Amino acid sequence: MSDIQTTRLRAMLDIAQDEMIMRDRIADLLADGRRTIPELAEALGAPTREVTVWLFGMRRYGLVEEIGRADVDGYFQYELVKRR
Amino acid sequence: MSKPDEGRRPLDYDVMVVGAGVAGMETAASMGDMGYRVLLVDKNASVGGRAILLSKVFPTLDCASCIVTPKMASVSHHPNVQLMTYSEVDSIVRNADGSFAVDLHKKASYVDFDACTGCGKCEEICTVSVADEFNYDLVTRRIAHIPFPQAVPKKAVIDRRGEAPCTFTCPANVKASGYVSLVRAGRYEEAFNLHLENAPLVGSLARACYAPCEGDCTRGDKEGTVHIRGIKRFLADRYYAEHSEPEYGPVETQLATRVAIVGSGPAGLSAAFYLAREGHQVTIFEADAEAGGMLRTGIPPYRLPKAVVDRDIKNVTALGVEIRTGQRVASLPDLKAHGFDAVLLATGASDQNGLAVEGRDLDGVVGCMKFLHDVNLGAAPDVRGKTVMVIGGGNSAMDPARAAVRLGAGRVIINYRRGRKEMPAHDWEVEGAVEEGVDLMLMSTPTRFIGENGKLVAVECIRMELGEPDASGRRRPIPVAGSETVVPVDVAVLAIGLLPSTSTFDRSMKSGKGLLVADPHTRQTADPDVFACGDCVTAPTMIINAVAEGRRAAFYMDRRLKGLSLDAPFDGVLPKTDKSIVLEEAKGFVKRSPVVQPALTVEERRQTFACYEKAMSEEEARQEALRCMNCGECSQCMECVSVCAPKCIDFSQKPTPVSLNVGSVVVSTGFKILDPATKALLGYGRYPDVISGPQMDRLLAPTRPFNAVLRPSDGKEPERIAIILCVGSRDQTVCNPLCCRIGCMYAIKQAQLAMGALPMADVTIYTIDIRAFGKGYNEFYEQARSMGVEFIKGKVARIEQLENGNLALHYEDMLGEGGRKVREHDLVVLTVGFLPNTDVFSLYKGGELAADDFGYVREVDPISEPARTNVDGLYVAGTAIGVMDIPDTVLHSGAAATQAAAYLQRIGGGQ
Repeated sequence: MSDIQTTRLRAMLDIAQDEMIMRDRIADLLADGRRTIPELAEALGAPTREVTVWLFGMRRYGLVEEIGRADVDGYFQYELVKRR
Repeated sequence: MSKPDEGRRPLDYDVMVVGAGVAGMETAASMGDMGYRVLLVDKNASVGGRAILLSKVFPTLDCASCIVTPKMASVSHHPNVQLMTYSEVDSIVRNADGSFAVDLHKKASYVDFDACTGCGKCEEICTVSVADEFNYDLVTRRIAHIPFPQAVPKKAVIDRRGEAPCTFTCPANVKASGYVSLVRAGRYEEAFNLHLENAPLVGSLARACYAPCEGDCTRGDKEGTVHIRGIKRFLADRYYAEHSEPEYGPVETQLATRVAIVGSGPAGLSAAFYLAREGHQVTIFEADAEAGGMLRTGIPPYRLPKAVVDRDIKNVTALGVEIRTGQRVASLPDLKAHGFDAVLLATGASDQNGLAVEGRDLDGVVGCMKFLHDVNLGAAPDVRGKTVMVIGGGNSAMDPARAAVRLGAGRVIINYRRGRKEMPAHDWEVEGAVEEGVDLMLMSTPTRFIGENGKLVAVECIRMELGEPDASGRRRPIPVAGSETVVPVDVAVLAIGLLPSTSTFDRSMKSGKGLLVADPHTRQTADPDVFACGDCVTAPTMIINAVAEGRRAAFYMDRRLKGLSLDAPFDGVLPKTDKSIVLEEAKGFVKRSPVVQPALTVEERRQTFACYEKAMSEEEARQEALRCMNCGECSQCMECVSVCAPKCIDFSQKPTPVSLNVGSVVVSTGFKILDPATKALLGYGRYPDVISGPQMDRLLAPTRPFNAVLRPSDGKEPERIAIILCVGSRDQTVCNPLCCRIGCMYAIKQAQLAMGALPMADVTIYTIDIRAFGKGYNEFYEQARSMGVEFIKGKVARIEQLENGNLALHYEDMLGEGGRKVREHDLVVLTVGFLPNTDVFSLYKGGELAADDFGYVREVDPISEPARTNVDGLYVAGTAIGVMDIPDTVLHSGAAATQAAAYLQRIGGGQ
């Protein structure tokens, strides 16, 4: 769940800066099993919006992929792409 | 080339089209089909404009890619159309003969487009992530990137706006931004190897460099400089812990050329490293018993443990470099007689500058280099319980003073003739010394060393006051007559400057100050086979300067030995990035406080020569690396170079100016999108699930940034989508009174696509009215209604985020019951207005290109001569005259092409 925002969102460029570290942490979590974005955010202690950015940065470069369809709450689960 | 008419300038192209969106591509292709030779210029790396980023087009719901990519391919392969992407027009001037003189430049992409295969490997491995403008900042991309999947040409480009200040400032141009970026990405070995490219003594620099990079770090203007040296310490320690020996040996191609290097300090070692990497046979002659020069004997072990120096030297000797210790070179001709083809003199500056006062020869008066030499070699004088006075205020005074503390001196005094703020030593060095108990005796200088039985017992000092500034700009210290005092002292250490160690060389090789004379660029001396570098040429400086000197000398020696001209540039470095640009960009950044590098306590420091700083942990180093602001955009981590199979990355590229003569010009520079944040009450930029129309189109596109239509706040499929029309159009509050012309259909398209992608979702369009004026538009609107899209005639006043994360829309219901209403949604799309792209007006330098009342390019007679501007021969195509849909754009482009063709006929240009 997003926090209520009263000020401007954190700049995308600043969130992007964290990607190189956060993708390793996300990969560590997904190595233990598939997760949704809110589940990842809770485990990381990070805002869901920022986890969304990092996760889709990983997906763009083929590190993670979604599984099937969204659950009843509307969230997809993601897992690490198995490298050959 | 067209055959020029008599008296006419030859034309390089019949027409230049500026801007390669739909209008530009259509105009270029049309004129190409007519047989004209067309130059199509775009500032972006790909043609396609904004249309290629759309999901589908209205009212047919054809795939945008299916509409646009054939046009992109057409102009790319058309025999009469020359594409010039990633290029910007600087100036257009109309000639007297009716043609146009054009200046433009190809931007440096740092990629050889002819060789690039568009494989994307560089992008995958790039360590700098930024917001992706091609997805309207919904996701990230890399600094090395192919703009989007359908890009034409499909070539990578690398964003660089300048040299990062840290790298620019480093005398050796060590790519600090690069290894910091690699540490951030967890690639520690790559970081170490990157450092080797500019400086082989990684461990020593990680501990003893004065880090000028940190002094120029942009983060220093915010929460404090990035501790770059601390990050280097982490990567060096980690690498050396895992690799007790270098992973490489001598290079495969060994040359017969032999090089002698005199001196094994940082300059000599560095030169040897780079010469050996070129295959030369290198021998270093070192007068001392062990190699390392100043690193070995001039820096106390609490700053630089000798095991680290040993490991650094292995980086050099692993390449086959021989070091002969205990061999002082007395004669250069002897070296040549022994078969050396070239000689490098790198003897440093460790001779002591004397102090012309009585008693300087007493036992107990020593030079700082002698003192430190003995400390480093385990032969330090016994100063336990004694008083040590260090004379001088520079960094070279701090080392013996702090060493004396560790040796157990009863009292350590630094005597300096000026005040604290005039001390040339780094503040942190002075503060460290004071913390450890060193007394500062300022505004004082020795006048006499007093001895008993030939041994020092006291120093007579006189008080100083500051007079007028001297040549250095500092105020000159003047003795105060009659203020002499006597201080009991057992050991006095002179740290008042060092002299070049050049006494064995012929006077003809030296300047009046005893420095060796060498070319400032190549480091070649009067003897073309003898080079000289480092402190013996420059006077004492920092270790990193000596390293830089060594690499420079090696570069030119290598050229000399290979018979190449020395008239060649060394290290292509871009201008330094303007920090104000970086700081402006960083206004929305969170505060990132510096990671505090672990260190010994003051009491521990006083007791031991162990290194006073501890290495950062992996987590600490990566966190500190996160604070880097990527000032230069590309960090130069060089990972792209390492994976590029066709070897097409070229960091030496520079912008290429081009001057042309063309018969006619068509500007098709498009429009700009209004920043939705200007409508502050609607929450864009504050609530992540309030997005713009172009962002929604990306979410709906087949090449979407997410795996489905998801809301950006948490990746959830939205269930209740609101689309608000006329955000910043027909709106005097943002000075944009125009109807955007396409917003209604654009929004209805998105509503239909959203319902297709999310069958369970409710979609509501908030509108003042629906303008469905085009062919099939009203049917398109009715189709949306029949699909279940709800239309609310009402103006949305503001949006608030609820505790459950959803968004409450406050609007005025203009039909039905009327009054103020609130509706809850979980994704809100703002159909934003569009603005003129006024950049076009700065292109034409031959007068004024006329604008209409709204800031778009003015057509002088849109009814009878569409596309004609006030400049004869310069035409306008597409949305540069005002936003329109794609069919109208294509139509208008045809008009522009026809006008330009007619003009070319009129002036007798073209084919």
